[in-house]
Amino acid sequence: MSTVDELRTQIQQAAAHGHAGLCRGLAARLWHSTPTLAAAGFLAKTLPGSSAASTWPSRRVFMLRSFTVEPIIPALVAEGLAAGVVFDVTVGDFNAYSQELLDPSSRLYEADPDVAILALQTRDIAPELWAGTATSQSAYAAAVERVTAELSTLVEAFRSRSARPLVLHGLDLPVQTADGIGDHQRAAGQINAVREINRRLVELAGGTSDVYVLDYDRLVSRHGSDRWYDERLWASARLPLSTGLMPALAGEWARFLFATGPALAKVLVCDLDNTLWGGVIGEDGIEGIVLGENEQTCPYLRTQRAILDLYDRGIILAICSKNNPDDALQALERHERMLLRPHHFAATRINWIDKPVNLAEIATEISVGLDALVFLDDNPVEREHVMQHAPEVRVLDLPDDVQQFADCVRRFPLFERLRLTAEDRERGAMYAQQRCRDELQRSTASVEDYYRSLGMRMQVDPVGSDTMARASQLTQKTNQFNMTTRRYTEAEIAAFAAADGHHAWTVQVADRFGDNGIVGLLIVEAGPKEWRIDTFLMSCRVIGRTVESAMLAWLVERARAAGVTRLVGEFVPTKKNAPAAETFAGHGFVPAGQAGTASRWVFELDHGTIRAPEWIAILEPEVQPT
Amino acid sequence: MNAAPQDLVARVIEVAADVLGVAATALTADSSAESVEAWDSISHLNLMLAVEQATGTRIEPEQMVELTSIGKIADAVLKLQSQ
Repeated sequence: MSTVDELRTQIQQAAAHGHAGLCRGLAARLWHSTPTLAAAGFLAKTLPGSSAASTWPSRRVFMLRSFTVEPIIPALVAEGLAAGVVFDVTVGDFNAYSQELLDPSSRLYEADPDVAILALQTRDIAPELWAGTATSQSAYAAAVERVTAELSTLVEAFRSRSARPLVLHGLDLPVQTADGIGDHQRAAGQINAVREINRRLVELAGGTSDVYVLDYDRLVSRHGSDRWYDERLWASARLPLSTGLMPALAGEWARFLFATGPALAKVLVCDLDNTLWGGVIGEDGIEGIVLGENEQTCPYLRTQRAILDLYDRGIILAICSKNNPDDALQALERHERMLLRPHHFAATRINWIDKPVNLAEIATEISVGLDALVFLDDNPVEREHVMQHAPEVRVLDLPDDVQQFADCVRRFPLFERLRLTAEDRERGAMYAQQRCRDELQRSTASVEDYYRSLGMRMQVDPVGSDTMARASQLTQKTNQFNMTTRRYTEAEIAAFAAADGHHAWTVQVADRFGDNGIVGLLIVEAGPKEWRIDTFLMSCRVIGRTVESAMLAWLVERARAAGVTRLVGEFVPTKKNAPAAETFAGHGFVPAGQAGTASRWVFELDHGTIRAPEWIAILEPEVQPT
Repeated sequence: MNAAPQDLVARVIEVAADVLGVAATALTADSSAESVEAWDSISHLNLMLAVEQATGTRIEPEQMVELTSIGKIADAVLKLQSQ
């Protein structure tokens, strides 16, 4: 039996036995080794609906398109399944994207998908630029204006009718120009006109919440336009690209679908020997391990640079290595060419314990689920072992060639982030501060003394244009201390902030070790006498420091000042939010009924109040909300 | 015209079962766009592309529309492979 047949059999068995993690890992292996239409079809018929995939998140996608995309959809579904996500894709009518975006009662708005993709290409939307058939330079300039105006109208129409993210194709540069190399000498030639449209699209997206541009031209050029385009399929089926490259486009779409939803992967757990450096530190010693002089030519340094870039993107790093800790730490601290240093890692397990055990501990230490971990190890035996025994962990399918490690790390789709908030940029430093807090806690006698010595300060501010992205991100990512787990897009948060009947506040916490940034969010539906708490969440970064008490105390004061007499809270249990379950009861809220699994809680302001913990100073915002 | 050998028919059935999302055991050489519900015009294009990919052949667009049964596809592939 061939490897592919074996893999298929294993996937069928894992699917039937409900082995979710193994199923995902095997699906990734099959799809990445054999990205064919048949493999995509096999995964699409085997996994969705199986008991293994029943716990996987799903994303409803609407494809608006100017060309035939149907044969690419199975590949898109396979990309999702290989990452443990079920994409439920609806394809809009052929070349009907304008009507579908403009008509408020179209299938698009009726479907209300989690995310919409507008798949366009130059030969459809700007045929004169693609074919070079314009008779004058001014006609090219006119095409730029026409296309930009058309797409602005469509994007604005979508944003006024839907709060969902929209992903928009940029345009591909013409392969041939009517004037040959002369074309490129003019700003208003075919090539530069398309570039100008792309530049304006980036501006358009940047100025609209939750609209993103897929750089279609760069995707084409990465694979080569000669291989990308298929004139035979274009002529007969309006399918512009060759069969072999359909997975490449599907993969790029999938990146955006992952990045516009809740973050699925948050932590990269790195092995050391033969992964971050060449050789074995315990045998070769600090002088003997391989770390070349030049970052351009040393594959290990390139891998380290790729990992450091993820760190700067807000991905949390950890180490899981079989070594004597002293040997390994010496290399991390002292080797002059290391780019990664101990302070970059939020958790470290350097020992001889089984890796799945270490991985579980790392997840607990960082306060994330095991399924948020991504495991990087050069050793295929370790990778297989982790897949078998810690199936929730995502395992990077590293190639044998060490030269490709860095690219493999960079290409991992679940570490893509579309908007970086200040908190993302600072996340690594925050984990270093957290280690200082943990040490303080260990050295303090009582938990109250620990709280007092932290010197916590909390500030609550109305959500503003500069904090909407972070507010939305918190609703997308916070699973543990989250009363209702309602996920909101930036546009929805903006609507709350602007609406008369709602208030939305961000909560920022700092202490003597540093600023935790915005770590809490409160959204209330504000009636004249009653405020209903729609969203009350807190990042795991500050769980266990009584910040929730300070938030509720602040909210009570604010409600009182507004003449409100009662607060209504809601708790919707999920698999992950047990840490928040007792909060309302613990602060004097009274149970007021159930709706399904959700419970309702009431706090009468006339009957009592909630005091902020003495160890948290509540700072007034600089500008009061109106 | 020579009929395609059994292993080629089996290969086409395997690919068609994946693309159409049905069990391979439910298909025979006689299965066609009329007899298989999932075999519609959209999945026909997917099937043609998948067969090309799996057999390393190139089916001309004019021919694609005629290949509406497993047997016809296998015969066409055999012919293309022997050219």
